[in-house]
Amino acid sequence: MDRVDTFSTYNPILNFAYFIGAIGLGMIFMHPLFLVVNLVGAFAYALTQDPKKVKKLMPLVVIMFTLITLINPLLNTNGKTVLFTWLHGRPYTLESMCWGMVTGSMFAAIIIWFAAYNHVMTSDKFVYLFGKVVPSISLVLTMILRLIPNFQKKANQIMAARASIGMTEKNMENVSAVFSALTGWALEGGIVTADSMRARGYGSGNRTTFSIYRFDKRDVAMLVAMFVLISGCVVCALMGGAEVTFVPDIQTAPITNMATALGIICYGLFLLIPIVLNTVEALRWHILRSRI
Amino acid sequence: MQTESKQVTKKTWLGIIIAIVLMAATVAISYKMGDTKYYVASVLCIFYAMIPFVMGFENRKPMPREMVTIAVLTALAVISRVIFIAIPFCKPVIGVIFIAGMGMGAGSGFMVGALTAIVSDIICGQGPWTPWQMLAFGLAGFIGGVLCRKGLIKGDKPLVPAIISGLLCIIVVGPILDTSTLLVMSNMVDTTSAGAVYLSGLPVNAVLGAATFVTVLVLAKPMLEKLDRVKVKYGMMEEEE
Repeated sequence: MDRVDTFSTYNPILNFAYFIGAIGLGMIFMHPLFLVVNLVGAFAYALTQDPKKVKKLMPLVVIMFTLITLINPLLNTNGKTVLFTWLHGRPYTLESMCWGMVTGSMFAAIIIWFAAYNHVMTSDKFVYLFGKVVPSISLVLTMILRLIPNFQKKANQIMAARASIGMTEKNMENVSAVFSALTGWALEGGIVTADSMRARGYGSGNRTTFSIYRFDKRDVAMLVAMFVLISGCVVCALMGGAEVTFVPDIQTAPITNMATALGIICYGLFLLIPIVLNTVEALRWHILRSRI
Repeated sequence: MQTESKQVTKKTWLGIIIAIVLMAATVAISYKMGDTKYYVASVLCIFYAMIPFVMGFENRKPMPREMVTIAVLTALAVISRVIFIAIPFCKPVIGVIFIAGMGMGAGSGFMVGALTAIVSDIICGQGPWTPWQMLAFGLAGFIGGVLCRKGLIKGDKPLVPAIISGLLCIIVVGPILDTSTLLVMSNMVDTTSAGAVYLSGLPVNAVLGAATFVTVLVLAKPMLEKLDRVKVKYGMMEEEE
Protein backbone atom coordinates (compact mmCIF):
# COMPACT_ATOMS: atom_id res chain seq x y z
CA MET A 1 0.00 0.00 0.00
CA ASP A 2 1.44 3.37 -0.85
CA ARG A 3 1.91 5.75 2.00
CA VAL A 4 -0.43 8.68 2.20
CA ASP A 5 0.69 11.36 4.60
CA THR A 6 -2.60 12.62 6.02
CA PHE A 7 -0.95 15.45 7.91
CA SER A 8 0.36 16.99 4.70
CA THR A 9 -3.23 17.31 3.42
CA TYR A 10 -3.98 19.81 6.19
CA ASN A 11 -3.71 23.51 5.48
CA PRO A 12 -0.11 24.63 4.78
CA ILE A 13 -0.33 27.11 7.67
CA LEU A 14 -0.69 24.15 10.03
CA ASN A 15 2.08 22.18 8.33
CA PHE A 16 4.44 25.12 8.67
CA ALA A 17 3.42 25.88 12.26
CA TYR A 18 3.94 22.25 13.20
CA PHE A 19 7.50 22.18 11.90
CA ILE A 20 8.33 25.56 13.45
CA GLY A 21 7.03 24.13 16.74
CA ALA A 22 8.80 20.79 16.44
CA ILE A 23 12.16 22.25 15.40
CA GLY A 24 11.96 25.28 17.70
CA LEU A 25 11.03 23.24 20.77
CA GLY A 26 13.69 20.72 19.82
CA MET A 27 16.29 23.47 20.04
CA ILE A 28 15.05 24.61 23.44
CA PHE A 29 14.68 21.29 25.27
CA MET A 30 18.03 19.78 26.26
CA HIS A 31 16.71 17.45 28.91
CA PRO A 32 17.66 13.85 27.98
CA LEU A 33 14.08 12.57 28.26
CA PHE A 34 12.82 15.31 25.96
CA LEU A 35 15.63 14.51 23.55
CA VAL A 36 14.61 10.88 23.39
CA VAL A 37 11.01 11.91 22.71
CA ASN A 38 12.27 14.33 20.06
CA LEU A 39 14.39 11.72 18.29
CA VAL A 40 11.61 9.11 18.40
CA GLY A 41 9.11 11.62 17.01
CA ALA A 42 11.42 12.78 14.23
CA PHE A 43 12.43 9.30 13.12
CA ALA A 44 8.91 7.89 13.38
CA TYR A 45 7.47 10.63 11.17
CA ALA A 46 10.30 10.62 8.62
CA LEU A 47 10.19 6.82 8.40
CA THR A 48 6.45 6.78 7.70
CA GLN A 49 7.05 9.26 4.88
CA ASP A 50 10.11 8.02 3.09
CA PRO A 51 12.23 5.26 4.66
CA LYS A 52 14.75 5.40 1.79
CA LYS A 53 15.54 9.04 2.44
CA VAL A 54 16.11 8.35 6.14
CA LYS A 55 18.41 5.48 5.25
CA LYS A 56 20.37 7.82 3.00
CA LEU A 57 20.69 10.39 5.78
CA MET A 58 21.74 7.88 8.42
CA PRO A 59 25.50 7.87 7.70
CA LEU A 60 25.61 11.69 7.96
CA VAL A 61 23.59 11.68 11.17
CA VAL A 62 25.68 8.94 12.81
CA ILE A 63 29.01 10.48 11.78
CA MET A 64 28.01 13.96 12.94
CA PHE A 65 26.64 12.60 16.22
CA THR A 66 29.87 10.73 16.94
CA LEU A 67 32.03 13.68 15.92
CA ILE A 68 30.15 16.20 18.03
CA THR A 69 30.15 13.82 21.01
CA LEU A 70 33.88 13.19 20.81
CA ILE A 71 34.97 16.72 19.93
CA ASN A 72 32.98 18.60 22.57
CA PRO A 73 35.25 17.44 25.47
CA LEU A 74 38.28 18.59 23.48
CA LEU A 75 36.92 22.13 23.31
CA ASN A 76 35.22 22.26 26.68
CA THR A 77 37.15 20.95 29.65
CA ASN A 78 34.55 21.58 32.38
CA GLY A 79 33.20 18.65 34.37
CA LYS A 80 34.35 16.72 37.41
CA THR A 81 34.71 13.16 36.10
CA VAL A 82 38.00 13.14 34.23
CA LEU A 83 38.25 10.22 31.83
CA PHE A 84 41.84 10.88 30.79
CA THR A 85 44.18 13.77 30.25
CA TRP A 86 45.93 14.79 27.07
CA LEU A 87 48.18 17.59 25.82
CA HIS A 88 50.05 18.22 29.09
CA GLY A 89 47.19 17.58 31.44
CA ARG A 90 44.20 18.96 29.55
CA PRO A 91 41.27 16.99 30.97
CA TYR A 92 38.78 15.04 28.87
CA THR A 93 35.63 14.81 30.98
CA LEU A 94 32.61 12.55 31.00
CA GLU A 95 30.22 15.46 31.62
CA SER A 96 31.47 17.32 28.62
CA MET A 97 31.08 14.19 26.51
CA CYS A 98 27.47 13.80 27.70
CA TRP A 99 26.87 17.39 26.73
CA GLY A 100 28.33 16.67 23.33
CA MET A 101 25.98 13.71 23.05
CA VAL A 102 23.02 15.96 23.81
CA THR A 103 24.12 18.47 21.17
CA GLY A 104 24.71 15.62 18.74
CA SER A 105 21.23 14.19 19.22
CA MET A 106 19.74 17.65 18.88
CA PHE A 107 21.58 18.02 15.60
CA ALA A 108 20.42 14.58 14.45
CA ALA A 109 16.82 15.39 15.31
CA ILE A 110 16.99 18.70 13.43
CA ILE A 111 18.36 17.00 10.32
CA ILE A 112 15.61 14.39 10.39
CA TRP A 113 12.91 16.99 11.06
CA PHE A 114 14.08 18.99 8.08
CA ALA A 115 13.92 15.86 5.92
CA ALA A 116 10.27 15.51 6.95
CA TYR A 117 9.73 19.25 6.43
CA ASN A 118 11.08 19.13 2.89
CA HIS A 119 8.78 16.22 2.16
CA VAL A 120 5.67 18.08 3.34
CA MET A 121 6.38 21.71 2.39
CA THR A 122 6.36 21.66 -1.38
CA SER A 123 7.07 24.87 -3.27
CA ASP A 124 3.38 25.57 -3.97
CA LYS A 125 2.63 25.42 -0.24
CA PHE A 126 5.55 27.72 0.42
CA VAL A 127 4.29 30.26 -2.09
CA TYR A 128 0.73 29.95 -0.74
CA LEU A 129 1.97 30.68 2.78
CA PHE A 130 3.92 33.80 1.93
CA GLY A 131 1.63 35.01 -0.83
CA LYS A 132 -0.62 36.75 1.66
CA VAL A 133 2.07 38.45 3.69
CA VAL A 134 4.36 39.53 0.86
CA PRO A 135 2.37 39.41 -2.41
CA SER A 136 5.01 40.97 -4.70
CA ILE A 137 7.83 38.81 -3.40
CA SER A 138 5.79 35.65 -3.67
CA LEU A 139 4.89 36.56 -7.25
CA VAL A 140 8.61 36.96 -7.95
CA LEU A 141 9.19 33.60 -6.25
CA THR A 142 6.59 31.95 -8.47
CA MET A 143 8.25 33.45 -11.55
CA ILE A 144 11.68 32.18 -10.48
CA LEU A 145 10.40 28.66 -9.92
CA ARG A 146 8.93 28.72 -13.40
CA LEU A 147 11.98 30.31 -15.05
CA ILE A 148 14.50 27.75 -13.80
CA PRO A 149 13.36 24.79 -15.94
CA ASN A 150 12.88 27.24 -18.80
CA PHE A 151 16.49 28.48 -18.52
CA GLN A 152 17.78 24.94 -18.16
CA LYS A 153 16.17 24.02 -21.45
CA LYS A 154 17.54 27.13 -23.16
CA ALA A 155 21.03 26.48 -21.78
CA ASN A 156 20.91 22.98 -23.27
CA GLN A 157 19.87 24.47 -26.62
CA ILE A 158 22.74 26.96 -26.54
CA MET A 159 25.19 24.17 -25.70
CA ALA A 160 23.84 22.05 -28.54
CA ALA A 161 24.19 24.98 -30.94
CA ARG A 162 27.77 25.57 -29.83
CA ALA A 163 28.54 21.87 -30.09
CA SER A 164 27.49 21.95 -33.73
CA ILE A 165 30.28 24.45 -34.44
CA GLY A 166 32.78 22.32 -32.55
CA MET A 167 32.74 24.09 -29.18
CA THR A 168 32.19 20.98 -27.11
CA GLU A 169 34.98 21.36 -24.59
CA LYS A 170 33.78 22.11 -21.06
CA ASN A 171 36.27 24.78 -20.10
CA MET A 172 35.73 28.09 -18.35
CA GLU A 173 35.64 30.03 -21.60
CA ASN A 174 32.95 27.91 -23.22
CA VAL A 175 30.81 27.58 -20.15
CA SER A 176 30.84 31.30 -19.43
CA ALA A 177 29.99 32.00 -23.07
CA VAL A 178 26.93 29.79 -22.66
CA PHE A 179 25.97 31.58 -19.46
CA SER A 180 26.52 34.97 -21.04
CA ALA A 181 24.32 34.09 -24.02
CA LEU A 182 21.67 32.79 -21.64
CA THR A 183 21.82 36.06 -19.67
CA GLY A 184 21.18 38.18 -22.75
CA TRP A 185 18.28 36.05 -23.89
CA ALA A 186 16.78 35.80 -20.42
CA LEU A 187 16.92 39.54 -19.68
CA GLU A 188 15.32 40.55 -22.97
CA GLY A 189 12.69 37.86 -22.60
CA GLY A 190 12.00 39.12 -19.12
CA ILE A 191 11.35 42.65 -20.34
CA VAL A 192 8.92 41.34 -22.95
CA THR A 193 7.13 39.36 -20.24
CA ALA A 194 6.97 42.44 -18.03
CA ASP A 195 5.57 44.62 -20.80
CA SER A 196 3.01 41.94 -21.53
CA MET A 197 2.02 41.91 -17.86
CA ARG A 198 1.61 45.66 -17.92
CA ALA A 199 -0.40 45.57 -21.12
CA ARG A 200 -2.78 43.13 -19.48
CA GLY A 201 -3.33 45.50 -16.60
CA TYR A 202 -0.95 44.31 -13.91
CA GLY A 203 -1.10 46.65 -10.96
CA SER A 204 -4.32 48.33 -12.04
CA GLY A 205 -6.41 46.52 -9.47
CA ASN A 206 -6.30 43.90 -6.77
CA ARG A 207 -4.70 40.69 -7.87
CA THR A 208 -6.49 37.46 -7.07
CA THR A 209 -4.58 34.31 -6.33
CA PHE A 210 -5.54 30.74 -6.93
CA SER A 211 -4.95 28.14 -4.29
CA ILE A 212 -6.32 24.68 -3.70
CA TYR A 213 -6.02 24.92 0.08
CA ARG A 214 -8.99 25.44 2.39
CA PHE A 215 -9.13 26.17 6.05
CA ASP A 216 -11.99 24.02 7.33
CA LYS A 217 -13.21 22.60 10.62
CA ARG A 218 -10.58 19.93 11.00
CA ASP A 219 -7.89 22.57 10.46
CA VAL A 220 -9.41 24.72 13.20
CA ALA A 221 -9.54 21.72 15.55
CA MET A 222 -5.93 20.87 14.75
CA LEU A 223 -4.84 24.47 15.27
CA VAL A 224 -6.45 24.54 18.72
CA ALA A 225 -4.87 21.20 19.66
CA MET A 226 -1.44 22.36 18.52
CA PHE A 227 -1.80 25.64 20.39
CA VAL A 228 -2.75 23.87 23.63
CA LEU A 229 0.11 21.37 23.40
CA ILE A 230 2.71 24.04 22.56
CA SER A 231 1.43 26.15 25.47
CA GLY A 232 1.96 23.16 27.74
CA CYS A 233 5.54 22.85 26.53
CA VAL A 234 6.19 26.57 26.99
CA VAL A 235 4.75 26.49 30.52
CA CYS A 236 7.01 23.54 31.29
CA ALA A 237 10.05 25.39 29.93
CA LEU A 238 9.23 28.56 31.88
CA MET A 239 8.74 26.59 35.11
CA GLY A 240 12.12 25.00 34.61
CA GLY A 241 10.70 21.52 34.04
CA ALA A 242 13.20 20.77 31.31
CA GLU A 243 16.21 22.15 33.14
CA VAL A 244 19.44 20.26 32.92
CA THR A 245 23.03 21.14 33.75
CA PHE A 246 26.08 19.24 32.58
CA VAL A 247 28.99 21.12 34.07
CA PRO A 248 30.43 20.61 36.56
CA ASP A 249 27.94 17.88 37.40
CA ILE A 250 25.06 16.24 35.51
CA GLN A 251 21.75 17.25 37.04
CA THR A 252 18.39 16.75 35.38
CA ALA A 253 14.91 17.72 36.49
CA PRO A 254 13.23 14.49 37.68
CA ILE A 255 10.19 13.08 35.87
CA THR A 256 8.24 13.22 39.14
CA ASN A 257 8.41 17.00 38.88
CA MET A 258 4.94 18.25 37.83
CA ALA A 259 6.30 20.64 35.20
CA THR A 260 8.55 17.99 33.69
CA ALA A 261 5.72 15.46 33.47
CA LEU A 262 3.43 18.05 31.88
CA GLY A 263 6.14 19.03 29.41
CA ILE A 264 6.94 15.45 28.41
CA ILE A 265 3.28 14.61 27.84
CA CYS A 266 2.53 17.75 25.83
CA TYR A 267 5.75 17.48 23.84
CA GLY A 268 5.22 13.81 23.09
CA LEU A 269 1.62 14.31 22.01
CA PHE A 270 2.59 17.28 19.85
CA LEU A 271 5.33 15.40 18.05
CA LEU A 272 3.09 12.39 17.53
CA ILE A 273 0.30 14.39 15.82
CA PRO A 274 1.16 13.36 12.23
CA ILE A 275 1.75 9.73 13.16
CA VAL A 276 -1.54 9.49 15.05
CA LEU A 277 -3.33 11.09 12.09
CA ASN A 278 -1.75 8.67 9.65
CA THR A 279 -2.54 5.66 11.84
CA VAL A 280 -6.16 6.70 12.36
CA GLU A 281 -6.51 7.23 8.65
CA ALA A 282 -4.98 3.86 7.84
CA LEU A 283 -7.25 2.12 10.35
CA ARG A 284 -10.32 3.87 8.99
CA TRP A 285 -9.35 2.84 5.49
CA HIS A 286 -8.78 -0.73 6.61
CA ILE A 287 -12.20 -0.91 8.30
CA LEU A 288 -13.95 0.63 5.31
CA ARG A 289 -12.31 -1.84 3.00
CA SER A 290 -13.08 -4.85 5.15
CA ARG A 291 -16.76 -3.92 5.15
CA ILE A 292 -17.01 -4.25 1.39
CA MET B 1 13.08 57.45 -10.81
CA GLN B 2 13.87 60.25 -8.41
CA THR B 3 10.50 60.16 -6.61
CA GLU B 4 10.73 56.40 -6.45
CA SER B 5 13.98 56.36 -4.58
CA LYS B 6 12.67 58.94 -2.09
CA GLN B 7 9.68 56.73 -1.29
CA VAL B 8 11.97 53.79 -0.79
CA THR B 9 14.04 55.66 1.73
CA LYS B 10 11.02 56.65 3.84
CA LYS B 11 9.54 53.16 4.05
CA THR B 12 12.96 51.64 4.44
CA TRP B 13 13.70 53.89 7.41
CA LEU B 14 10.47 52.79 9.04
CA GLY B 15 11.47 49.18 8.44
CA ILE B 16 14.93 49.77 9.88
CA ILE B 17 13.46 51.29 13.05
CA ILE B 18 11.03 48.36 13.48
CA ALA B 19 13.88 45.92 12.91
CA ILE B 20 16.14 47.57 15.49
CA VAL B 21 13.38 47.69 18.13
CA LEU B 22 12.52 44.03 17.59
CA MET B 23 16.18 43.01 17.65
CA ALA B 24 16.79 44.86 20.91
CA ALA B 25 13.72 43.22 22.45
CA THR B 26 14.75 39.74 21.31
CA VAL B 27 18.31 40.12 22.53
CA ALA B 28 17.09 41.49 25.87
CA ILE B 29 14.63 38.62 26.37
CA SER B 30 17.14 35.95 25.42
CA TYR B 31 19.73 37.59 27.68
CA LYS B 32 17.28 37.66 30.55
CA MET B 33 16.45 33.99 30.04
CA GLY B 34 20.17 33.52 30.50
CA ASP B 35 20.20 30.40 28.39
CA THR B 36 22.28 29.31 25.49
CA LYS B 37 19.46 29.48 22.93
CA TYR B 38 21.55 31.54 20.57
CA TYR B 39 20.20 29.91 17.45
CA VAL B 40 16.55 30.88 17.97
CA ALA B 41 17.40 34.47 18.93
CA SER B 42 19.83 34.94 16.06
CA VAL B 43 17.48 33.52 13.43
CA LEU B 44 14.79 35.91 14.65
CA CYS B 45 17.28 38.77 14.31
CA ILE B 46 18.06 37.69 10.75
CA PHE B 47 14.39 37.85 9.86
CA TYR B 48 14.10 41.30 11.44
CA ALA B 49 17.09 42.45 9.40
CA MET B 50 15.17 41.56 6.25
CA ILE B 51 12.14 43.65 7.22
CA PRO B 52 13.46 46.93 5.74
CA PHE B 53 14.16 45.29 2.38
CA VAL B 54 10.85 43.47 2.28
CA MET B 55 8.84 46.53 3.38
CA GLY B 56 10.68 48.73 0.93
CA PHE B 57 9.95 46.32 -1.89
CA GLU B 58 6.30 45.63 -1.06
CA ASN B 59 5.29 49.22 -0.33
CA ARG B 60 6.87 50.60 -3.45
CA LYS B 61 4.45 48.48 -5.53
CA PRO B 62 7.25 47.43 -7.89
CA MET B 63 6.67 47.74 -11.63
CA PRO B 64 6.53 44.51 -13.63
CA ARG B 65 9.87 45.29 -15.30
CA GLU B 66 11.68 45.51 -11.99
CA MET B 67 10.03 42.36 -10.63
CA VAL B 68 10.71 40.30 -13.73
CA THR B 69 14.32 41.47 -13.91
CA ILE B 70 14.87 40.44 -10.29
CA ALA B 71 13.21 37.08 -11.02
CA VAL B 72 15.39 36.57 -14.11
CA LEU B 73 18.63 37.42 -12.30
CA THR B 74 17.71 35.14 -9.39
CA ALA B 75 16.88 32.27 -11.70
CA LEU B 76 20.20 32.86 -13.48
CA ALA B 77 22.07 32.77 -10.16
CA VAL B 78 20.34 29.53 -9.16
CA ILE B 79 20.96 27.87 -12.50
CA SER B 80 24.57 29.07 -12.76
CA ARG B 81 25.55 26.28 -10.39
CA VAL B 82 24.18 23.70 -12.81
CA ILE B 83 25.75 25.32 -15.86
CA PHE B 84 29.19 25.60 -14.27
CA ILE B 85 29.06 22.09 -12.82
CA ALA B 86 31.61 20.91 -15.39
CA ILE B 87 34.27 23.21 -13.91
CA PRO B 88 35.66 21.64 -10.73
CA PHE B 89 35.28 23.62 -7.46
CA CYS B 90 33.49 26.40 -9.31
CA LYS B 91 30.48 27.64 -7.37
CA PRO B 92 29.56 30.79 -9.25
CA VAL B 93 26.36 31.60 -7.34
CA ILE B 94 27.76 34.34 -5.09
CA GLY B 95 29.65 35.88 -8.00
CA VAL B 96 26.48 36.10 -10.07
CA ILE B 97 24.61 37.66 -7.12
CA PHE B 98 27.42 40.19 -6.66
CA ILE B 99 27.23 41.16 -10.32
CA ALA B 100 23.44 41.41 -10.10
CA GLY B 101 23.87 43.80 -7.18
CA MET B 102 26.35 45.86 -9.19
CA GLY B 103 23.93 46.14 -12.07
CA MET B 104 20.64 46.59 -10.21
CA GLY B 105 21.56 48.49 -7.04
CA ALA B 106 21.85 47.53 -3.38
CA GLY B 107 18.17 46.85 -2.58
CA SER B 108 17.55 44.68 -5.63
CA GLY B 109 20.91 43.00 -5.06
CA PHE B 110 19.79 41.96 -1.61
CA MET B 111 16.50 40.64 -2.99
CA VAL B 112 18.31 38.63 -5.66
CA GLY B 113 20.66 37.13 -3.06
CA ALA B 114 18.02 36.27 -0.48
CA LEU B 115 15.66 34.82 -3.10
CA THR B 116 18.49 32.78 -4.61
CA ALA B 117 19.06 31.19 -1.20
CA ILE B 118 15.35 30.44 -0.73
CA VAL B 119 14.90 28.98 -4.20
CA SER B 120 18.01 26.83 -4.22
CA ASP B 121 16.99 25.51 -0.80
CA ILE B 122 13.45 24.80 -2.01
CA ILE B 123 15.04 22.73 -4.77
CA CYS B 124 17.91 21.12 -2.82
CA GLY B 125 16.24 20.90 0.58
CA GLN B 126 15.87 23.44 3.34
CA GLY B 127 17.73 23.17 6.60
CA PRO B 128 18.73 25.13 9.66
CA TRP B 129 21.18 27.00 7.43
CA THR B 130 18.50 28.55 5.16
CA PRO B 131 18.05 31.88 7.03
CA TRP B 132 21.81 32.30 7.30
CA GLN B 133 22.24 31.60 3.63
CA MET B 134 19.58 34.20 2.83
CA LEU B 135 21.43 36.78 4.92
CA ALA B 136 24.86 35.92 3.55
CA PHE B 137 23.81 35.84 -0.11
CA GLY B 138 21.67 38.93 0.33
CA LEU B 139 24.62 40.83 1.78
CA ALA B 140 26.80 39.82 -1.18
CA GLY B 141 24.31 41.45 -3.56
CA PHE B 142 23.81 44.41 -1.26
CA ILE B 143 27.51 45.17 -0.92
CA GLY B 144 27.99 44.84 -4.67
CA GLY B 145 25.26 47.41 -5.17
CA VAL B 146 26.57 49.86 -2.56
CA LEU B 147 30.15 49.77 -3.82
CA CYS B 148 29.02 50.23 -7.41
CA ARG B 149 26.77 53.18 -6.59
CA LYS B 150 29.59 54.88 -4.69
CA GLY B 151 31.69 54.45 -7.83
CA LEU B 152 34.31 52.37 -6.02
CA ILE B 153 34.01 49.49 -8.45
CA LYS B 154 33.14 49.51 -12.11
CA GLY B 155 31.92 46.76 -14.37
CA ASP B 156 34.31 47.54 -17.22
CA LYS B 157 37.33 47.00 -14.95
CA PRO B 158 36.46 43.61 -13.50
CA LEU B 159 39.68 42.96 -11.59
CA VAL B 160 38.88 45.20 -8.59
CA PRO B 161 35.29 43.94 -8.11
CA ALA B 162 36.58 40.40 -8.54
CA ILE B 163 39.13 40.83 -5.75
CA ILE B 164 36.55 42.52 -3.51
CA SER B 165 33.95 39.81 -4.08
CA GLY B 166 36.52 37.10 -3.41
CA LEU B 167 37.54 38.73 -0.14
CA LEU B 168 33.87 39.23 0.69
CA CYS B 169 33.39 35.45 0.54
CA ILE B 170 36.24 34.84 2.94
CA ILE B 171 35.47 37.68 5.36
CA VAL B 172 31.66 38.01 5.32
CA VAL B 173 29.72 35.33 3.45
CA GLY B 174 31.69 32.28 4.60
CA PRO B 175 31.84 33.24 8.29
CA ILE B 176 28.07 33.93 8.34
CA LEU B 177 27.44 30.44 7.00
CA ASP B 178 29.95 29.03 9.54
CA THR B 179 28.06 30.81 12.32
CA SER B 180 24.98 28.72 11.56
CA THR B 181 27.14 25.60 11.82
CA LEU B 182 28.55 26.86 15.11
CA LEU B 183 25.17 27.59 16.64
CA VAL B 184 23.57 24.34 15.51
CA MET B 185 26.44 22.07 16.46
CA SER B 186 27.68 23.58 19.68
CA ASN B 187 25.65 24.41 22.76
CA MET B 188 28.36 26.33 24.44
CA VAL B 189 29.64 29.17 22.30
CA ASP B 190 33.03 30.29 23.54
CA THR B 191 36.29 31.29 21.94
CA THR B 192 37.52 27.69 21.67
CA SER B 193 34.48 26.25 19.88
CA ALA B 194 34.06 29.39 17.76
CA GLY B 195 37.74 29.34 16.82
CA ALA B 196 37.54 25.67 15.89
CA VAL B 197 34.51 26.15 13.64
CA TYR B 198 35.74 29.31 11.92
CA LEU B 199 39.24 27.92 11.37
CA SER B 200 37.92 24.67 9.92
CA GLY B 201 35.67 26.73 7.65
CA LEU B 202 38.53 28.83 6.35
CA PRO B 203 39.77 26.47 3.59
CA VAL B 204 36.22 25.98 2.30
CA ASN B 205 35.67 29.73 2.30
CA ALA B 206 38.98 30.27 0.52
CA VAL B 207 37.91 27.92 -2.27
CA LEU B 208 34.55 29.70 -2.41
CA GLY B 209 36.35 33.05 -2.56
CA ALA B 210 38.58 31.88 -5.39
CA ALA B 211 35.56 30.58 -7.33
CA THR B 212 33.75 33.88 -6.81
CA PHE B 213 36.85 35.81 -7.86
CA VAL B 214 37.05 33.87 -11.13
CA THR B 215 33.32 34.17 -11.74
CA VAL B 216 33.22 37.93 -11.30
CA LEU B 217 36.40 38.36 -13.32
CA VAL B 218 34.99 36.44 -16.26
CA LEU B 219 31.28 37.27 -16.09
CA ALA B 220 31.10 40.84 -14.74
CA LYS B 221 31.76 42.55 -18.06
CA PRO B 222 29.47 40.49 -20.32
CA MET B 223 26.62 40.36 -17.79
CA LEU B 224 26.70 44.08 -16.97
CA GLU B 225 26.92 44.90 -20.68
CA LYS B 226 23.78 42.89 -21.27
CA LEU B 227 21.97 44.59 -18.39
CA ASP B 228 22.96 48.01 -19.74
CA ARG B 229 21.92 47.02 -23.23
CA VAL B 230 18.49 46.01 -21.99
CA LYS B 231 18.20 49.26 -20.03
CA VAL B 232 19.02 51.34 -23.11
CA LYS B 233 17.06 49.25 -25.58
CA TYR B 234 13.84 49.34 -23.58
CA GLY B 235 14.28 52.81 -22.13
CA MET B 236 14.40 51.65 -18.54
CA MET B 237 16.43 54.66 -17.50
CA GLU B 238 13.70 57.22 -18.22
CA GLU B 239 10.54 55.28 -17.46
CA GLU B 240 8.75 54.71 -14.15
CA GLU B 241 7.69 58.30 -13.89
